[in-house]
Amino acid sequence: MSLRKSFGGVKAVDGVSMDVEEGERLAVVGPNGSGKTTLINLLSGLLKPDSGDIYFKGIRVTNKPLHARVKLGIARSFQLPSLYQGLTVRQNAAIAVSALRGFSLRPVDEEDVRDALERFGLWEKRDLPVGSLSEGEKKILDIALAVVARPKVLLLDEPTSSVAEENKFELMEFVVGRLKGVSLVIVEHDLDIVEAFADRVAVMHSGRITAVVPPGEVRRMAV
Amino acid sequence: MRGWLSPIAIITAATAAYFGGPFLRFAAVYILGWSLAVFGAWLLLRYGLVNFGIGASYALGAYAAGLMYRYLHTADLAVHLLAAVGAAGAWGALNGAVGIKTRGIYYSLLSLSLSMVLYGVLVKFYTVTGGSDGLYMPDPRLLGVRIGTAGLLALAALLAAAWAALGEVFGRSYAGHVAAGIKINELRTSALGADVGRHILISSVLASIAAGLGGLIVGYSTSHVSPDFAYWVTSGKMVVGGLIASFLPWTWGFVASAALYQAVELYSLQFAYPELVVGGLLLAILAAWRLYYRR
Repeated sequence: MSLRKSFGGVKAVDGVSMDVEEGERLAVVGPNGSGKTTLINLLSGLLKPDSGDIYFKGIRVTNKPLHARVKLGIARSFQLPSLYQGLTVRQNAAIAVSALRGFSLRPVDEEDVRDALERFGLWEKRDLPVGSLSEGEKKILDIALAVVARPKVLLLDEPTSSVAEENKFELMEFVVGRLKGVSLVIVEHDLDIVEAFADRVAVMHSGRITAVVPPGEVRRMAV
Repeated sequence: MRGWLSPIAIITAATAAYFGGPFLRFAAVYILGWSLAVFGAWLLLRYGLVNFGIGASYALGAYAAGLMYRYLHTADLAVHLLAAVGAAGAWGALNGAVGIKTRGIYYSLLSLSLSMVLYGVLVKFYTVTGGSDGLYMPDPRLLGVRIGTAGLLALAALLAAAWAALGEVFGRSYAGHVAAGIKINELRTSALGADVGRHILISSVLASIAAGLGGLIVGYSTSHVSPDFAYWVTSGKMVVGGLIASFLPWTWGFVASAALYQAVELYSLQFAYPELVVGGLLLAILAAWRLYYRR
């Protein structure tokens, strides 16, 4: 509620209040530098707000670190796929499966790894190094890793950026189809994607949410 | 399955060394003790942490036993082991606390600084620690009986085999995968739900205990412990050993690395500048190994 975050003299997020319903897809749109990614970073716990509070299912999570929020059910993907370069797809998934287990010396359950990859159609690519995947596949793997934690809210930071124009819809349909029941906060530039996949749209400008509208009205506001 | 042969290989090699005569027995004990410290450095390298203060843990393991003998007049092996594990474990927790907040060169230099503070304490508190002369290390006794060279070799081999088994388990475990994640992309690993600080703290304690037990074994083998155990150059040698071990594809790589390092160091002593010879030879061996492996 009323989140604020400044970097020096720049107010990146300036008094943002918003809520996300269970199973809802909320898109956050706005020009570059409007504070969208900073907002995602605040919600995920990557940054701490200067003031304001964040609640998740009635629990105040403002001061909880990134890993603790994941365990509560808030996960995120990254604008640039944040993968383990030099490792294979399977090894990436094994790390995601392991991250939730604390310091456990038990062997990694390969069934969990398989489930994580099969859900997103990546099992066939399990032995490939992540560097050899296409941009779209990297995006999918990035999201697949986040979903291993079975989040209730997933923060997607520009899920279609750097993906070829003709593949964007296909990618979003594929991803959203596998995230039924998960609340999504989608930072996105592409208004066609927003119209097709969002339930509500929050418009950000200069660190503030200037309007929350149905997807059909976003284009009118942009005009 | 092959990985589980590592502990057996270590015990077999130690048994062979026992029948190889007094020099090989001494060398085997020394190498196995040193290898435990190398294991500590290797474990932290799995997280991308270069600990230039691991020698402090090595020293504490030996000093804990030496002080027990000096002030409590006990040479009981079980008491010494407990003291070494306790002292080194506590030091590992302190290092782990440093590791939670610092990374890269800052971690390396802070760990080095902490170890040199301990080095200073060991040198300056002459009346307690024996100063630069160090302390006498007794022949340990088990149930009142001296364990002797054979017993010490068996102890060193069992400890190295146990840590090799732990290394094997760690490599396949959830914790081992998280270590790889932290080394390559710590932020992402945290964003996947891993409590990075907790992982580093536990591993620091484990690494320090391994090094402490190594110091205890080496102290027993030479009947002596001195502040040189905690000197940063000693830590540097252990880190080099850990680096070599990380290149080797076997769980017992830390023992092979320790043996290689000690052999090269022994060979280099005949030259005017032994450190240069050690550095040059190790680089040549590593380069040759990498070339072979790539092919």
